[in-house]
Amino acid sequence: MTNGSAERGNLDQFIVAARSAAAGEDLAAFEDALKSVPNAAIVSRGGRPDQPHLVVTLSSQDAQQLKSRFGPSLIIERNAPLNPL
Amino acid sequence: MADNNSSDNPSGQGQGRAANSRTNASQKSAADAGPPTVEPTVKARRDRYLVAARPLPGIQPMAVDVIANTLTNMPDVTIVKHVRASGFGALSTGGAGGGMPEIVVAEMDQAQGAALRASAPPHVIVERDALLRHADDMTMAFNNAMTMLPGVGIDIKLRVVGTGGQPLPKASVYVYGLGFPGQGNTDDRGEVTVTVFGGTIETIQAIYVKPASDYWDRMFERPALSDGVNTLQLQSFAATFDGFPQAAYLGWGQQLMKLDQIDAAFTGQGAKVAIIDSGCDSSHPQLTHVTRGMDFTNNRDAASWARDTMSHGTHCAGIITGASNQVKGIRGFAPMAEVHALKVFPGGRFSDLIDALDQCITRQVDIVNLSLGSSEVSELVAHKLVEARQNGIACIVAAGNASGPVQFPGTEPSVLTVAAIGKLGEFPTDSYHARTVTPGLVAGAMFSPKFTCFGPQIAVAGPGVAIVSTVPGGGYASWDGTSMATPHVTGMGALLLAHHPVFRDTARARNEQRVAQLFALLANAGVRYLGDPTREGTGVPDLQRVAGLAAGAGTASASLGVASAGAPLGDAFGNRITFGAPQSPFTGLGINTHLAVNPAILQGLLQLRSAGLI
Repeated sequence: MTNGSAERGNLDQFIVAARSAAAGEDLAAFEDALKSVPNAAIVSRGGRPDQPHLVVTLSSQDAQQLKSRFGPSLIIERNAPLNPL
Repeated sequence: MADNNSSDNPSGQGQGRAANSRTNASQKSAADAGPPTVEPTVKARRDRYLVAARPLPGIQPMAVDVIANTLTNMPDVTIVKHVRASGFGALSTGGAGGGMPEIVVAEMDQAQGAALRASAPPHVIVERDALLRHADDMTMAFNNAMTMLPGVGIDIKLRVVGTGGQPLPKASVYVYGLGFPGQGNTDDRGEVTVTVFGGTIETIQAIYVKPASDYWDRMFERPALSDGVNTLQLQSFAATFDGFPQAAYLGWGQQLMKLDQIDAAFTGQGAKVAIIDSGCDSSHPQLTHVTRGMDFTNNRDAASWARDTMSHGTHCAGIITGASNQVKGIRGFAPMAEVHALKVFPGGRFSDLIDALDQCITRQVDIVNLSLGSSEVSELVAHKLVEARQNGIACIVAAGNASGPVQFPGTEPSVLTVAAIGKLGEFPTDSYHARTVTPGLVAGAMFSPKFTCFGPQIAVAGPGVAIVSTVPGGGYASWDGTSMATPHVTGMGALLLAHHPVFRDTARARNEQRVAQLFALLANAGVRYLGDPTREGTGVPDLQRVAGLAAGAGTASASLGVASAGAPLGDAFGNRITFGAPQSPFTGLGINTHLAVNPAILQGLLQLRSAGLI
């Protein structure tokens, strides 16, 4: 037996936002698509009403697949940690 | 190759020093010599050296008595024993009268030993009597199962005290031996026991003590430790800056940027400054006027931004807006500015930064301090920084402390990126600050600290070594970093936005042009100290060079460019290399190297000098 998340890599946080105001519907479509991804979850919703973004947990493999599908209209990037310098 | 620091701002130094009453710590210790109030602090461990005659054909070997007498007459050298060798190959054939050369074993400090080796004539052998190790310590550790077993640790008992012997609780202590360093924090008695593995007490290489506040940190190299409690004494800021913090202390960075020479009415009133960091302890006596903030690590809570568990944001806030309230303490650049503490640490990610920048746009902030960075790049953050700029928000960003290329978001063209610069003589030579100095990056009294990131994105430099500022709990700490350099520039930017006439009229509109105008004013005011734009941009902004801000400032260059010709980095022969810059609290500890001397010879002379032999 293999663990689904192990096959897909470790879970990580990603930010998802529309590339333009016209792509707002794609963010909703992304949210729908997320429901069928094992172990994926929405961590938080942020951004101004006219610029909403999602913070989600995904495996890196699932993130790549979603990028290939939504990449033209959505920015999907790792929600990397910041460091005080 | 002028010393730019002294030639560019002699009046600044003079006035600044007059404002501070500083004392050379070593002088003060001597002057205060009376009945000891504390047992002697740990001293550097002495090395053992083997000294013997080297038989050379045709040369009379040096007699052991002569060697012993020479060593006896050297200050602080102790002869431990004589070893009568029974034969050492080539040595055994040349001894006087056919006998074996006798070896004198002597103890001295490392610098003396190095000097003795450097100055030894050809017919004298001087070598360190090094500790022996098991062979598998070095080569078999990962192969030999026996050595993989947990070793027996040695407990190092330490007590950290201040100048008067008072215990210093909550100090972080790191003990470096042959393996992983051990770490601990001192208790209320100032005591801590740190366990280290893989060596004896004699293999401890260094102990680093970082106090909670109000003292300089200290590095004890090769400490001479005992099995009992070892006392480590630290030097207080009050011993360096007389009366601090009740008496005012003007930081060396504020002096360099001429904060003490501007109109006293310039306090930043009217400017809105955001500090996106770890929060801000507004209960600090110098930060009680900071009343606005938001905590992005706690569901945008409107109160918990004042709990700064990392101290980082509070330190930045002191540089920007530290105000003379109950205590004089430090002097911030813009004590009357409206400050917004937007907390993203600990745990901050790109999404938190985006939210915090959105909040800056909503609150119509004028200037943002971003003493943060990431090893990754974010397209969304980059877009948000552009949006902030289009809304008239100037983002001042730290270059990074990775000793490499500038880190994101300092790489973005929409921001003003700040490198760190240091000044010799502004910190004790046994503090960690001294370790940020690299000889090749020194020019005059200024230096580019080894940690600072560099590259074409560097717009300006800010003071970033041994920066004394506020920390939670009401105290002060001296820290290094581009994080400390950045708020110097942010604070100056807030002053310009509040008081420069160019921002009173058309440029007051919140747009991209206003930001560009501010960045140009800051860059134009730069004074180059290093001669390397990739490490200092146009230099350190100088308030006296901002055209139109103050009377007498009209001589500043009106066009964006280099304000002064800097000395090139690493010119060890034409510049002063010293840890004791003129009028600094740590004077008298350096040397002049104006003569063109072979570096190897110079090194030898340095060793002899430091050993007290010349």
